[in-house]
Amino acid sequence: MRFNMHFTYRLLVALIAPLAILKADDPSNSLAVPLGFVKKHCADCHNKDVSEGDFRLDLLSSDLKDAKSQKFWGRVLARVQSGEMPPHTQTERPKAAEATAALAALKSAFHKDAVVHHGESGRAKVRRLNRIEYENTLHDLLGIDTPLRDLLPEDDLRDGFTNQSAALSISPVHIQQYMAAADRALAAATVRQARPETRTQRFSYTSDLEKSFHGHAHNKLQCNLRGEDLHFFLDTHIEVPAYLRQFESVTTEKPGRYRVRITTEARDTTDGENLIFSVWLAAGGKRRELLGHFDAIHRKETVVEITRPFQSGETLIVAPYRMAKVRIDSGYSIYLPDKQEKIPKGWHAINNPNPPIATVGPAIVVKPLEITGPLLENWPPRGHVLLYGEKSELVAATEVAKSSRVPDTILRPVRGYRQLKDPVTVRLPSGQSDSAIREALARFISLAFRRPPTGIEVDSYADMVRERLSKGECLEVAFNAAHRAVLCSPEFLFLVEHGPALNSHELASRLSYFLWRSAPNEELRKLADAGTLAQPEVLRRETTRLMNSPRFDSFVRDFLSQWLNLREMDATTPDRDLFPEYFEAIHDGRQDILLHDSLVGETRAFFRDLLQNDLGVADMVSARHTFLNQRLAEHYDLPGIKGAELRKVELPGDSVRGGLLTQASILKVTANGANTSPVLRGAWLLERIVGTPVPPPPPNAGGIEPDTRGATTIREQLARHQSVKTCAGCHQKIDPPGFALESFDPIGRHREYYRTTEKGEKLKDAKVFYGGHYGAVKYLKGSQVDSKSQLPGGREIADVRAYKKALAAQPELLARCFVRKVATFATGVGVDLQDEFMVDKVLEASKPSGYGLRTILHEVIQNELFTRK
Amino acid sequence: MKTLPRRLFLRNAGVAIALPLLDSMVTPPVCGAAPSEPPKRMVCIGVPFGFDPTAFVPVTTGKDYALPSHLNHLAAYRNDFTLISGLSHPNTGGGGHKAEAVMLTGAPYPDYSHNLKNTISVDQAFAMRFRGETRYESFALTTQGQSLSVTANGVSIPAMDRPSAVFKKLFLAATPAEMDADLRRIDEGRSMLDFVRDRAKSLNQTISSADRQRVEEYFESVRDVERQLKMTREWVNRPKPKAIGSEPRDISDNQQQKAKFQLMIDMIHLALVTDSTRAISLMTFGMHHDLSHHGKEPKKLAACRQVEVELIQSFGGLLQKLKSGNEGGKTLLDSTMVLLTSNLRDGNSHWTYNLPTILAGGGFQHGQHLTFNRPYLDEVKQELNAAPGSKFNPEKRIPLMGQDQQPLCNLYTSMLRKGGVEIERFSTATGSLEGLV
Repeated sequence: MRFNMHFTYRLLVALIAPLAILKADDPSNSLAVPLGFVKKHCADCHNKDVSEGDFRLDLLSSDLKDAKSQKFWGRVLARVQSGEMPPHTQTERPKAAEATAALAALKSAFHKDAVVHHGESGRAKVRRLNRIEYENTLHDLLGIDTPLRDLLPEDDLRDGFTNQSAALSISPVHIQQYMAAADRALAAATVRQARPETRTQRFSYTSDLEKSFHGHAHNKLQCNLRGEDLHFFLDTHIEVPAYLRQFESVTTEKPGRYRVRITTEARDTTDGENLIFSVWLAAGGKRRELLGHFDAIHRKETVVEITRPFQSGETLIVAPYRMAKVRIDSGYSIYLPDKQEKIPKGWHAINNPNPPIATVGPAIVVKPLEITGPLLENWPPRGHVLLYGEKSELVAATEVAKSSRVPDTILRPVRGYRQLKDPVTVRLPSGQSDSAIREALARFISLAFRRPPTGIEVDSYADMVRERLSKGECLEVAFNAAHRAVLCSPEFLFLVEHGPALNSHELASRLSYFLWRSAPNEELRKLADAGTLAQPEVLRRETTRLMNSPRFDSFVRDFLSQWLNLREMDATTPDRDLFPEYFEAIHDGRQDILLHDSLVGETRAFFRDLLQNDLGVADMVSARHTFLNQRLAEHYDLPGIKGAELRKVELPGDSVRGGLLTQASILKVTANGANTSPVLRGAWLLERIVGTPVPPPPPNAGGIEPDTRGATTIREQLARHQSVKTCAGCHQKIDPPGFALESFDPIGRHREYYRTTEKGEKLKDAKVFYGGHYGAVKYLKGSQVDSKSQLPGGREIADVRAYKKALAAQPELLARCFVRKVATFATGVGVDLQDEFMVDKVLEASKPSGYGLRTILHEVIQNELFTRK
Repeated sequence: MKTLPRRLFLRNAGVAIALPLLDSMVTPPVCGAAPSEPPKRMVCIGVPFGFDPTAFVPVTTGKDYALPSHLNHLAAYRNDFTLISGLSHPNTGGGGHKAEAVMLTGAPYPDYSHNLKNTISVDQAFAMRFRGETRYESFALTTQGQSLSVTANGVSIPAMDRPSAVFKKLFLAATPAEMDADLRRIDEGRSMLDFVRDRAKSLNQTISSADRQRVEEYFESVRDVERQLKMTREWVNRPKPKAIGSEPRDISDNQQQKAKFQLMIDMIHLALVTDSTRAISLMTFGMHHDLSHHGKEPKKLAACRQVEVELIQSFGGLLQKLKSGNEGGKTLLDSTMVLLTSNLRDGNSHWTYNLPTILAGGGFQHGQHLTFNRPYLDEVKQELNAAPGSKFNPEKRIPLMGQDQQPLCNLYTSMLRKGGVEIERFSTATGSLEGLV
């Protein structure tokens, strides 16, 4: 009997439940709970008597289709969720559970409304590849490394991201440049000569080509040869002497991938410590790109191996790092070869027959370089075969010119300023052309469009080839017409998606562009072709595979540059007088590239580590570890770390470092090089980390006109802000986190006082290294920094450590912001209030991991935000 | 029929160089029509950090205004330019440096998220009017990377930063084989564009209506390039003018702002005298950011002003060059509107109103200081008169658009109208600029 009753009850529930769901589907009803909440907690203030403007919550309707009511509900959702409303001063605050229930119902209503509203179009709109994605895609497709992004206009930002559909317009300039970029890419992928021989060559600095600098008698104090080894005793001019001329002529003739082995050692350092050198990509006698800083080990020959592409005419520079400082620190003179005191008269005169030659003191020894290349995996290379098909063969261009029209660019190709010998071009064996052309094009289109082509598509491109062949053009020209059309067609340039659920090829593209910033690779493509990718476990496995690959670095780099605005690292140059530490040579304004590079390096390594080890959002803001090398540790006043490589370091218990907020990269991009502004730093933090952005400043609100003559502090200037009612509403939120960060200067050093060049105390003992010598600092000690601040709600805190602690105590808040940013970047469209329902699901699923970053990425990918259009 | 002089002489570092014909000189006027006026040109020069107001803004107005210290360096051209104060773009308050992107467009730049939807720049709006009349529709130039020119749908047009490349575009003649290859390339391009345009059409049938807008934009862009190629084709067979002087050596050291600016000025001048293009934009002088944040510290302020003086002097050099050319009894400056402006009042304040603005040439009546914000002049005056050593920092007064501020686009509207573009209002303009005739 008992059993039966129970059964009846269950039956009843089963019968009634569908009705309940039906009822809940009507948004007006699902808003009943939130409406009750608003009436009870909000409408007393936001009514006709008290409300600012027309934000009347006493009149709020439950119709989400009404634009105004939707806007107001959005405001309610944002403010209640952030805990900002109802205000803390209100005596009867709602219970947490009550607010949560109201919010959940509201989010669900928003979501349902959105699903109806979006229909098949989904959240995301068709978007073109941005210029980084464009370049990555062509590099992968054709197996080339020729730069292409420089041809394309810079992409506009939306919410800080460069891959947002709404900002990626397409203009005639784009079309013109896509044509030029396609030509450049096709030329780079097409074989012009017989297979170049892969050779290993040894380049010694004893060669006459290399002697122009170190061979000169008057430069021998800086560096000189012992046998085949080049010894650096001092810094030399930045472009010479180790600009490897011999290699330049090799790459001019045979650009391609090369493996470079650089053997170095350090000699005669004071305590046997190691020294640091840098390696640069160079061309035309100038540095082009830093390849890295490395350690020269004391009395131990060590090899640094670099494998990378070299464009025509590119070579390497090996340069010592801060050798003048090393030399002075170990008691030697930079004007004399040894430790003698007095500089003999006329010693450095150009007519001195015996100019100084350094022979003792610390030195970096660079041995002859060993370079192997061009490295070829296949011949013809992968891209060439993709373009012209397996069946095509390479023959002399002159041979082809006998039967078809071959343009000058193929018949007499030029690379750099040299004409290439014995040029070749493609030809198909007779009788095979039609099917071979179709076959080749089908494969190319399939990869370029990231989906199988239709028969009609292949036909239309094949017709282009045939038409040109029939006019007597050679095969390469005919083929290229179709290739160019493929690469300029909308299916290549746009990420096309059909809703509501993504098909497996669309999903593969989304996943791949998200995590690798490029088109799906072969493995992922196979799963897409098989149609299994959408299965949750397959999707999860593939996500893991992509995240474990070195190519995931592209995500780290691009996402951080946009989310945290690290793209602005080079936007400002620190003031030389105020922040001389940032420079390697002050006289020519050359920044300390090791330091500059380590700033961003720290943030990337830190973030990558959080993702690899699934560390949580609390660690993101207040970890007890970070990544340091010798130079960055020096910058942070943390002793005992040697060497150029960034490595994981546990921080001392009382350190102000740890977590993103106090990393020098962040502190630099939120300052202007000369001053810091709590407003800019506060806004950055709220917008990017906390996720409670403040509305834009009113039209024509200016900044504070900086007056660093010492009359007023920034705090006093901002205090006025807070006392003006129209400013205060927002500045009460923006300024406090900014104040907590005031104890960091524009280059991210911790500070107790401001530096000024105007009025302050002279710092007699403070010395700084100016590149060639130690000198007195040019700045003065200004006023004390006050990093006191308060948390929302009014609690006073002493400094940034307390601020970070308070943030870390709100992991859900941080995770919500992070999920939104990740989903925005992953889908190319902003996450708005209608998506909060889905965001909640991600949060729920990642909560058990302590909101681990890796888990969050997985859960975003599993979520409908990602799997549906 | 009036005969135009067949040669122009310009004084370039004391050397007189023979100039080729201007197109307008060889185009015979239509029978019975009045002698053709020289065509209008537009040069827009933008600088990112403004000018120190106490050195740049005259405190008196009208015809007899007293030249402030910076403008003393332009005293010789006093009657060839108008200084305008009290102009800005509405709704660019949060832009700061980012508002560089809208310097010539006036698009709103309201917040820190930088969600900019840019619009066409004034030089491009002007250039469209001359499409096909000159070899190049416009030149976007820069000495520092950024470009000021923006297409109709808000895309920044990459700017040329190498004077040698500009020189080659102007003068480097193609061999017959190259011309043949050029024509072939153009025809291939046109046929390819024709093809992908159809692809866009068929793609549009498979995607949702909300997605179509972007593909439409692609479609329109392709059509536009097709039209451009058609016009380019006609220029391929016309010989380029004979080179004036020799190819310049590019300066790679970014610190040499003045030398880089002057080299570009030479190229602008060559482009105009050869009538190779009529619309030019140039972004320049962006390397003294640290000095621009001088915080009113005297030493830094002096250094910053010195950089600004170099800029103004070089600008004067451009006016001089344009004035010395003679075209149909008029100077080249008479037909060329030369604008100098910035997105910031000055780097220290970062304020995006009271933008420094000079308009020279172009057939306007010049020689005056037009102001739309008198209180601003008083502020500058007070600061100028403050006792040395006293730390006078005037109260910040936010000007109200329409009251003590006019849209910079009103000036752009006047310029476009003068240039023969029939336009009611450009961008955020409310009309043409009052007081500018």
